[in-house]
Amino acid sequence: MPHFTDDELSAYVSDPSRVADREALEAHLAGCPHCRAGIASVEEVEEGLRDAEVWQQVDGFLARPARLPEALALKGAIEKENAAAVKLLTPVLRSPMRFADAKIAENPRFHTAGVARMLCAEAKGLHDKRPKFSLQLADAACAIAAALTGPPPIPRICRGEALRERANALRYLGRFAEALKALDEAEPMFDASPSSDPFDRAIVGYIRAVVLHETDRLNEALQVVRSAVDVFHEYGDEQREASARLVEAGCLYSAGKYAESATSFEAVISVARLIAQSRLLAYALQNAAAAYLSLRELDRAERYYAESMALYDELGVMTEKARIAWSLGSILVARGDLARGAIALDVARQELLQLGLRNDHALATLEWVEVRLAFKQTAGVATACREILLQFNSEGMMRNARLALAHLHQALANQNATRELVRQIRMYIRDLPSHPTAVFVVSQ
Amino acid sequence: MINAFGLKPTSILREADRIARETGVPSISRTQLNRLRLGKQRATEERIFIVLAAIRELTGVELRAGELFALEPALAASYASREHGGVPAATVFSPGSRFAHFWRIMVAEEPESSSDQAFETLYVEYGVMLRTIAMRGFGIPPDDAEALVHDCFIAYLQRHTCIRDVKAWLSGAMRNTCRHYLRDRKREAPLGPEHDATIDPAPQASLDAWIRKLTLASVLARLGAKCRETLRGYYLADEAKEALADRLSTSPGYIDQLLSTCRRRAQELFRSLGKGK
Repeated sequence: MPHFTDDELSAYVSDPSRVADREALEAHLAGCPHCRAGIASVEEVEEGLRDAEVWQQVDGFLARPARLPEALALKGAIEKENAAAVKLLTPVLRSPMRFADAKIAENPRFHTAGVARMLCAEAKGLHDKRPKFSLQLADAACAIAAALTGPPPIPRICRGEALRERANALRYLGRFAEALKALDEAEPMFDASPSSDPFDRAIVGYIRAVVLHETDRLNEALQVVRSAVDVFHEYGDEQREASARLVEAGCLYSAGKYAESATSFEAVISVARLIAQSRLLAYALQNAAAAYLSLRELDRAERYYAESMALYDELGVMTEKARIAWSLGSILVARGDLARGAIALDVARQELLQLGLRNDHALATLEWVEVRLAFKQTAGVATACREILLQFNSEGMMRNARLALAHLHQALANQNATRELVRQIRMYIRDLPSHPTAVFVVSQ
Repeated sequence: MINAFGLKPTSILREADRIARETGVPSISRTQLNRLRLGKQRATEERIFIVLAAIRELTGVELRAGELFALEPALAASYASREHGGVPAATVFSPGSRFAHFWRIMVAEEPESSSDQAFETLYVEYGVMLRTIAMRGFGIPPDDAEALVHDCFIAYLQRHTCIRDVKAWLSGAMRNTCRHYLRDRKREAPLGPEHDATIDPAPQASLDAWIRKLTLASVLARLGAKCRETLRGYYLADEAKEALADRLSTSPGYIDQLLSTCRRRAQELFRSLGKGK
């Protein structure tokens, strides 16, 4: 039987005796949770309509609050400032070179909160695509925010936000110590507004946790990120909460708790699908895939990598796409398909090099070398190793990495390089950012 | 997409079709409605009529053409002298930005942040919710609560681009502001007895019930004045339909019709807002 309408339910609630088919309605209600819920809602509204307190609030809603004009004036001022910033910045943001030439930090015309805000927003959108440019933007934002003299707390908020973006850019570039320093400077800036300070500091905490995770300070990272999760939850920011949970899961993964981390990544995947956040979903899938790879669930890992690769493709995040191509090569190798694995790794390492991801390129090259040595195909191996050695030299790579690579280079020249030696050097270089003082020693 | 009014483009189109059948006025297609909404098309008087009538019918809000469209002066005058009157002659209107703005208010999930009117709506409606959190949840005196609410909105304005769920963010911000306020007061001096009277331990259930009351109040505030006055008179003041009809210069039959339409609209809006909780 079809459900009863609101009008019919209302009539029943007002006066059941006046409903013509009362028995039919009551019989229907007995078996229909939908209409029972409808009755409850009708009753609640009817009760509310008789409640003087509700009508008092209606009058409150209809009255214009005394301080609204003040808020509207601020809103207008911010919008005006932002619009002016768009006009000023649009021409200079077309390329990093044009931006550098404009020297906006030295030009007082650009010293507005609107410009600082827009630079932060631009930097934020570029961290994972063009981290060097995003750092350039964040640095300019920092300089401009430091020169701001407007009424508090706007200059402080701008400074805090600019330092936060600088830290973010630095962490994408792997300059972790500098990132932590920027975060240390950013945090005290958020102390002027009790309503938003916990939220702003939680964003700082989130970035800090990412950096701590990258530098293998897992316990500290977990502590910081869990506190950020709570704050984001309180502010109802599902996306940031899920991102922070992603970092939490990442820490578990790095601690070798693969099954636990896979479960956490799955939880983030569900939320990301629910709130339709492609980027978050892509990251969560990619990380879950890595966890499944470590658990030797290769099919599932491959499926997750494929989905996240498609998402990165849509989002234009070529760096992560290249990293996934590398991981897919690793899966082929893990399956024992060394020939196809070597081809996939070769393509991936070239792509990583083209994107300027030198550390990743070096590691992928070493993995490729490892595979080539496994089936005794040494052609091109020595050249590739020499290239990464030179590249690390020119990139100012730390001394220890150069020494390890030189060791490999020597072994290749002497024709006694083994797959195991390459693996050890690869693992050593992979872990160097988090253990920069560790010395390479060949284990037997 | 469910909006604050629970209004969907498909509902408007369906209602427009129904009115078109009843009045003999041409209806409006989805494409035409979209083009109108985006300001890509100038509207004929017939289209304005059909859209306006459909939205009025669906919301119970006594909108005027000028609230939806930027009318050319002659037509504004023509509309000012006529409410639901006969079918207007086909003349060209400028679609104007107000239609787009109103559309956003009606249809968008969150009020459009760049418009003052939307911000005002947000300030008023969420302001009541925030004051409730302060006064009922934390026992903060009304004047101080008012100031704290304002501070939250100022903080929101300063960083609104990085806020995704405005309502949830403001609630979180309010709770933190209140905690900070109470910590400060504790340091300064114990609260006076006049403040004790306002303190309510407010268990979650009571706070939820209050928020539901506020939701209903916000729904009633959104209805048209006529709807609101009819409901208030009938339910709160216990006025007889005849007395109401007399006061509102209409017939008791029309009061019956108004009560039914307005109650139904209030129910629909209340339910659609309740889903988001």
